[in-house]
Amino acid sequence: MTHLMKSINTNTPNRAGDITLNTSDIDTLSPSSGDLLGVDASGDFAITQKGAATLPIAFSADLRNTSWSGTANYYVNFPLDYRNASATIYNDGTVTPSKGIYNNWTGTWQLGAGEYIVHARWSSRSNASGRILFRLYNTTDSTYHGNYTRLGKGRASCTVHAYLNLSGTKSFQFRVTDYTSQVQYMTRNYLPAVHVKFYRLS
Amino acid sequence: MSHNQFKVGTAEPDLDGDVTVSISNLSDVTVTSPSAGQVLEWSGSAWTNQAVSGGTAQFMLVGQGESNAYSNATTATNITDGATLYLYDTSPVNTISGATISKVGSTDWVQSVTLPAGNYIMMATYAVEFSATGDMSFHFQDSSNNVISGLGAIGENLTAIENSSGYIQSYRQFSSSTTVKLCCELPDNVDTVANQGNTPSEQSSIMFWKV
Repeated sequence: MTHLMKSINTNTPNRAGDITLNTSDIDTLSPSSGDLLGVDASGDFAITQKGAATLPIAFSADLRNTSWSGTANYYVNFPLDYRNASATIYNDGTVTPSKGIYNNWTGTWQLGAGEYIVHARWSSRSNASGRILFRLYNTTDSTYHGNYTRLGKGRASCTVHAYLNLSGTKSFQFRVTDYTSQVQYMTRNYLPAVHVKFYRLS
Repeated sequence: MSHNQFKVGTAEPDLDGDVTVSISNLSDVTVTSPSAGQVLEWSGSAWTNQAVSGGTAQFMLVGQGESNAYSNATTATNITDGATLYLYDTSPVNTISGATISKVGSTDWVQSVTLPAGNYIMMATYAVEFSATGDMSFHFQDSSNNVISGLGAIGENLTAIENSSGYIQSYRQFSSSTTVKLCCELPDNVDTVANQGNTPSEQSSIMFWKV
């Protein structure tokens, strides 16, 4: 069975039989540039706005270590680590921290698939002339990411910027890539400050 | 007047006279190569399909540890007061809609970035080689040479700016598109461009978050 077409939402056809229909003929809309088209609780079209930009933190550690009884110096491939201090650590449950070298110290982070921004700072006592370079290291794929970061002599920024786009679960450390002279490792009474943040983009 | 041959937008009836109208048949909707998860955004004249934006912070990262001699960035002999500080990156990450990155000639040395109007957190870490005990400050500035960030300072002789941070982390609101570059301030015993080697390339990085 067919019907004669008279109108759709009060829009009548022209002589050729064509009806021009737009969204505002279905529901009353007065959009501004950048607005999004959504639906309301009745299922009707409704204008909506973009959500506020967010940069959720997957993992954050901001702390000063308490003490270190060892005498080891930094060396190439040494993973920077810190003594666990749960009160200053946030984890959304998706990041698995584990030890670097020493038990009860954290120096490895396992991240799931997704995109991340890594923002980290590290400080530690060094002797008069020592300094190290370190860099974010993917221990799963043996790849480095982000800028080399200088710590020790020279008052450098000591800050890591890195972007990660991970297809699967990977583990990361901050590994020493070079050093000059002998750099003391987290000596007692010289409290290293650590800031490690993994922001999740997707 | 009524008709039995009609179209609704671009949708025509089948042999039974039935018309199946999809959203793209509406005259103010333009859907091009849609993909799952997209939304319709008002362009000012039509609803067009777009990837969802605004839910995740947009950001730009330049400087990811690659190696290249600083002498490839500039023909200058020295890094002087007010000089542009270049950053090396063959694949900078840029998810800020409308932002652009300007490189020096055919090199991968970045000399400036242009950010669309909006609110930004601007961050920078920089490293240079010194010929003797010295120091160097750095800041972001716009194309009119206005300083638009806090000051970062590196080196071992920071008497003039004692205890300055070695890192920039500044918030800035731009009411219009703004070109931003990192610049040197008050260098003291900064080694020559030729002697910088790969240090600025490997150890420097800037990042912008649109918030």
